[in-house]
Amino acid sequence: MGKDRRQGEGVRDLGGVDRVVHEPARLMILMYLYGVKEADALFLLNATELTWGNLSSHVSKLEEAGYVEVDKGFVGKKPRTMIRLTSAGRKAVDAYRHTMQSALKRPKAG
Amino acid sequence: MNETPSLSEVQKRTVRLLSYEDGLWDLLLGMIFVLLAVYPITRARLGPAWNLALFAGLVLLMTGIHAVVRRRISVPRLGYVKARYTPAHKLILAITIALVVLTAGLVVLTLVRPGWLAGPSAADTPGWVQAYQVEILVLLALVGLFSAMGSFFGVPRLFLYGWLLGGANLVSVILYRGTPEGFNLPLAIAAGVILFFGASLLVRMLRKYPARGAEA
Repeated sequence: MGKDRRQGEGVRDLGGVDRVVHEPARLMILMYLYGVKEADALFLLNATELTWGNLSSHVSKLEEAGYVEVDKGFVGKKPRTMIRLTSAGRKAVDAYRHTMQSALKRPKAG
Repeated sequence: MNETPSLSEVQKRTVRLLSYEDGLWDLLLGMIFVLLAVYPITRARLGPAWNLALFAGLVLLMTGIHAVVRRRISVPRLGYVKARYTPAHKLILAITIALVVLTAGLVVLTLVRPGWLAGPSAADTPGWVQAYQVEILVLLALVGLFSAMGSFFGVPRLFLYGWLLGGANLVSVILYRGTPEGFNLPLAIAAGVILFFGASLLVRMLRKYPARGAEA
């Protein structure tokens, strides 16, 4: 009975899931940034296979939410945009992962 | 996007994209083993000490060239990432470096073959193990190291490299033991296969990822 209630709570938590993180393209960007200190936009473009426009729009939304920081700079004469996950972004990914894991936990057979 | 998101998979893909997608690592590895293939010839001409110095110098030079080429060719195409080192990452890095140093030491030991290496061995050890104990150690070390890297980073060709290099070393000792020192053909063939993989990956990377002058 207690276990059923706990599983029910996990599913109910889905209602409060962070919509900024939940969007697939943004989740992908956050996941790639999660394992590194910082990455440039070109790396994210290749890794996520998004278009420049999509990437730029999703990064802007993540920046507005305070989940990533964006530094626009130059290497020689070429522009380079470095993007890094903030501590709020890291916490948001952890919370999202926890919510999804508890909601999607596979029930034991029988 | 149809795959189940997995942070560890994403991290593996990051390493693969940055370190193994351009084939430069394969080219460096292949060139090092080409040097090892000609090692006996240069040693006969230069002597062990100078030859080792030449080998180390050339490896350093190639590593430098590898870094420059990566910065000039790969980074503008694949992008740039600053690694985040957690204590677990640092431990893995330390173990990898230790294993690489150990393997390189064993390979050099096989080539230098000092007298104390043929020390007393147990009477019940099979003859072929006694005869090729260092080469078997090198084979196991190379297979273990490359398999661990292949599995950890999700790069299947590294499994092949371990067997190829360790096997080539063993075959070359079986073929050439007791003969005058010369060109090490099995090691050269193994290095050639790795160079072929590296060159193919480099061409593929150059075609797949065009250099981008500016971000959109």
